[in-house]
Amino acid sequence: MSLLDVRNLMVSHGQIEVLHDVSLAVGEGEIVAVIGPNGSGKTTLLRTLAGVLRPRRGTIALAGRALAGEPAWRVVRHGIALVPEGRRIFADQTVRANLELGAVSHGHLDGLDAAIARFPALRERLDQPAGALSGGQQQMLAIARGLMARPRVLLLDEPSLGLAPRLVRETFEVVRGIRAEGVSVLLVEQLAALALEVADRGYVLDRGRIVAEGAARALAADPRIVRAYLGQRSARGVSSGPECQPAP
Amino acid sequence: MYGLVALGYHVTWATSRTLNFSQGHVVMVGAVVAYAVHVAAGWPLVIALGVTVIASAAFGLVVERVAVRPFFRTGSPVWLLSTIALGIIVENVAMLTFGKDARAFPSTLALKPVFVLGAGVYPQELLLPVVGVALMGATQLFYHRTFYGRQLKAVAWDSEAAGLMGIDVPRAVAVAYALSAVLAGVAGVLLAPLLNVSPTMGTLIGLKAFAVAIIGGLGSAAGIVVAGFLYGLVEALVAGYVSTGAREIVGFAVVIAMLVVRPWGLGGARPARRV
Repeated sequence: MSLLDVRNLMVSHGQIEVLHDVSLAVGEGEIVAVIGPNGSGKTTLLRTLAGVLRPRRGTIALAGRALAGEPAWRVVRHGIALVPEGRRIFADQTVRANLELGAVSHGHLDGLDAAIARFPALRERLDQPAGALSGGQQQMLAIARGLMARPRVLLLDEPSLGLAPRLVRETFEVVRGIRAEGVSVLLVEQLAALALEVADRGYVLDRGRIVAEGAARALAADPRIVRAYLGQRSARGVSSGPECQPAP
Repeated sequence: MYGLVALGYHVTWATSRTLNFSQGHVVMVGAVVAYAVHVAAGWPLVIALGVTVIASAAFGLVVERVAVRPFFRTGSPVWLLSTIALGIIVENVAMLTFGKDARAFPSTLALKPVFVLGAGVYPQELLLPVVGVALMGATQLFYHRTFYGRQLKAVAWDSEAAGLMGIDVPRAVAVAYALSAVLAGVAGVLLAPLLNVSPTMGTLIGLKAFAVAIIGGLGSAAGIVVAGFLYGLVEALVAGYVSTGAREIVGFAVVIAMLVVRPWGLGGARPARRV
């Protein structure tokens, strides 16, 4: 059985149904990408998994424990942490305070050193207000803060948003590093081609439905998917340089 | 004397971006409870203070649960009216149980005035700013130096992100409401000997404290305490040299001027654009 198992999820905003019958799975130590056009429900999917939104129907299970309908602050205690779109850092507090807040769910602050070791750029800025960081550093802080919760599955919503190509590559390197430590990653990304390069498996979400799924390489090689979903975006900004080769 | 009550507005604002508009009524509840325990039942003042703290905290929790929480998640500003409504209900309950008449609250600190720079003041009046500053300091320490205080700040900044961190947002807001009500309740006990205790004593105090909170800046505890002093001073000067009738006019005119010139208040920071 998969670590994270989502079945027949249906979510609506008011009267409008945003997700219809979405099922997906994330295995232990796996990177899974969800790609798809704007407005297809990717962010809604992650927000539902994190407990921000309540699904109307369907189940969410982490290691066999049912989590659908639990509030966010309880879901994170069970091991699902969301790094939200747009970072949502606490800009009025210091970088250190932000990292510490990431650990509220279990109260142990000893992960701070590991977080700083992973993101050296944050080290010199620990006591500065988080709002003074650059966009790239804020993204790093948001990811570091998410990891402070010691999740078993990290949900990443558009980590590349608004970042320069070099920083996008760095972010994806970080994602690989996270997996190397045994944390599974569910990644939602506009830069679909790049997401599929880093992921093991992928799902294509279109208008609230999963329309394709499979090994990331297979999806990236499927001409129909390339035409419909990878077209222009893959060319934008990020070249597939040698440092972007899929993990061996 | 308004600073303490105004500080209560700051506490809930700083956590939930909502306000308890029955804050003035909590002052009254504090005074009435202290009267019942200390004067009517004859228990020592320390016990009366303890009971008041518990009673106002409980009232704060009720306000949050009944008048704020149902509207907090949806972002609707209905709490504005519902907290006022709850205050009116409490006022009427007090009318029925306590009676309409104002009653004196004897205190050894309000018997003989002492003379400071030629002006006669009761020691009780000097106690107020001391307690006010002390409680402001404590609140600031709580918010900036304790982990739970920083969690409340995180809720204020972005309650959804705070929830993602594992912060129990509804509980954090409830704590802020209890804390805010305790400040007002304590103010009620301190004010009781100076004013008389009556069900309507809190209404104007709540309103003026709100004026002070606006002048000082809802986001700034220090600004509020300074504004509390200034407001009291200006009131006394206007009442002394012009007329007592002009007192309220001047006070609220300052609020309007403040909202035009510097809406974030004396001590508040100009709202930063969120990046």
